[in-house]
Amino acid sequence: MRLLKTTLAVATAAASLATATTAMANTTVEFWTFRPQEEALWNRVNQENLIPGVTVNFNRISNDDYEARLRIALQRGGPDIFSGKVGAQWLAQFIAADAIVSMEELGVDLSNILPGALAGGQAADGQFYGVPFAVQLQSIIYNTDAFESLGLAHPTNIDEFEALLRAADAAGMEGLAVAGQAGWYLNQVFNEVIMAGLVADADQQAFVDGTKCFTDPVFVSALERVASWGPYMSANPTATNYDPMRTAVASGDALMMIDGAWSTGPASPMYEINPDFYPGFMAVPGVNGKVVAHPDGAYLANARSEKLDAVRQVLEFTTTETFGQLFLEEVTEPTAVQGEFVVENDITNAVMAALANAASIEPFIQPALNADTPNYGELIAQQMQRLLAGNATAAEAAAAVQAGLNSWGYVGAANCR
Amino acid sequence: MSYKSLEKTQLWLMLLPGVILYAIFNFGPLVGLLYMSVHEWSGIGGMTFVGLDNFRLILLDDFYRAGFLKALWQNIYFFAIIITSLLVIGTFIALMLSFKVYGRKQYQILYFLPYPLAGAAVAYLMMLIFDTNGPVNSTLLSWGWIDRPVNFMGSEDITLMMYAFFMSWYRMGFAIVMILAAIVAVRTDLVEAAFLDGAKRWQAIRHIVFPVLMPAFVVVFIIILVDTFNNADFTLLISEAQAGPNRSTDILGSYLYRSAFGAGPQDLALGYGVASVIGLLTAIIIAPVAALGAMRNIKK
Repeated sequence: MRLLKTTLAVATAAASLATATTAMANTTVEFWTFRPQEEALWNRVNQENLIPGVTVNFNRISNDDYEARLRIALQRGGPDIFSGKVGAQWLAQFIAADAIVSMEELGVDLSNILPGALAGGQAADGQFYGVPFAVQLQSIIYNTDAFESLGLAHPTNIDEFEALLRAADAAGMEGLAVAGQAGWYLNQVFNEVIMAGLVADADQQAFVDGTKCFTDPVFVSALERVASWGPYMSANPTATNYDPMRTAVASGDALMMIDGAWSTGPASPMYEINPDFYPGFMAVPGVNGKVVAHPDGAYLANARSEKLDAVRQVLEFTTTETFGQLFLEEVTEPTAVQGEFVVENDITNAVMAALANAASIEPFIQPALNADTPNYGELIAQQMQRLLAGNATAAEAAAAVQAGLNSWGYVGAANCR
Repeated sequence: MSYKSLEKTQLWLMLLPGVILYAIFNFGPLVGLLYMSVHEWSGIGGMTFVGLDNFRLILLDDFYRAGFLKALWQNIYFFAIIITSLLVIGTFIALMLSFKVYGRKQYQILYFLPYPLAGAAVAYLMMLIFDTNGPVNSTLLSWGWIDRPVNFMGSEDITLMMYAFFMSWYRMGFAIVMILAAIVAVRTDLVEAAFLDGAKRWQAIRHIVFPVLMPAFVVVFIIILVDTFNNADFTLLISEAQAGPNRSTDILGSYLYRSAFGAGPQDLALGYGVASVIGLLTAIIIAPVAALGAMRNIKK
């Protein structure tokens, strides 16, 4: 009888241990993102079991309805981890609803993240609510074959750049494809790259501080310059959306576009259009001549997740050099993690080299310009569309941006009335 | 139970399914909308009671009031084009189809064909046809009528009008069917009698045909009114939630959508509370017109 009891006890203990071990090994965390390019990365993380005991279930949600679906899902529990978009304003709605947990509270150390990328997960109160994953290059992206066919050297100043536009036009190409129908593109990408090229960093900082107004000749002349490129842009930029813009450049119908380097990763649809497409990167060669280093959001933890230990494990992993290396290999975008990396992909190397020449400030994500409505991003999208459609002069567009910011008393309102 | 009581009970029992369905699908959501309009809610977490703050934001804040009024005005313009097209062209086509001519049935099918299509399919079709590099622009360019492609899909001046014309084409089948059904009810003997009594053609149409067609016109008017003030398929599918360029394609449906769900990282949602206010204001604007029209038909 004793033997039977002992045997039963041992068997029960063994079964419990086995069950517990299995449970540990099978913790699956649901991960939602709007970034399809990360699928291979997370598949590899799972296949190589790089986060012991945790499997990350990758779910890609269309960017168009990402926020709507996320909100609905969070009502019922939602994903354990999800990609957040950049900007304190975007984070604020989730913080107000106690839907996300701060990294300090979760116990995730961010000291290994590039200081310039931390804004990707920083709230208006300065706290960090996510682990930034990438620093995106935003610059001019051109079709190298089309560029070589023109036989011109790389432009080193704005006159040579405009000569390039004219040469493309003469060769039957659009000089600069512009997705003027997409407001998010105009404010986050197009305007930022133009300003990083044509406006000195100190002036951009002064716009953010409110010591310089947007009606200043520096800003107005940058907009005038954009308007003057009209004949070399897409025929109707405000009727051109994001994908047709990329299609035009990939197919060689357009020489260049202003875009983020995410469009040049291996998962980009540009290679489906033209498998031989090879991108080149450059800044708008104005007085500043710099590109934009854009922190592209962060991985956020659902405060109501029942698997917060596993979530912590995953987020901690995303701060490691191992993850940074994988990110470079699989997503081929510059990682937000600090470290020494081996980059074998030529395009990624070119992106990282271009990032060395990034502007020191990105007004689009500055809380001082975006704390209330109408915010800077919204105003730029609308006024840039008016400018591109020929419905406003540069001075009128700049005045409308200034008036919009003044309406809610932004930092420069008193100085710029 | 007396006969009268039994009759009353039967009437109530017959009404009950309709009342229950109406309560669940119409009255309930309306009460929910009222409840939500006095709360702040981003769609996640709990709701916060804010009283009339959401109404104050839309009606008294300069920025949001301007946005709301712009969307309202553009919606009226959008509706005016559609309803005029449907009633004028729809009546004309219905009259043509009422004559016993060869191929009448085929024409009826042809005109009705766009109506069952999905809004997304119609939007895609419009984009294909009127794209900068689409067949219309290519043809106009090849004929030398224009120097540069017309900005059909991205112009502050004409894009909303294009949406209205395509919406008219999309809904034309419905209007034709309604008006055609009414035309069939016109008593030809009365028209003939009127002519014998010396009535002119226009007098016969005005005093005999139009009164019969009027209930159909009212039904088309109400359904299109409710449809165009509550939906914004083309704006959301083509111009997206930002309703560009420069909000020129914004109508109440897209304004409501943008308030509820936002339009990008820097064009954030205002919350379901504000969206409910816009929904309520829309209902307040169109309900009296729709109710008056319905009452007119009931009296007839």
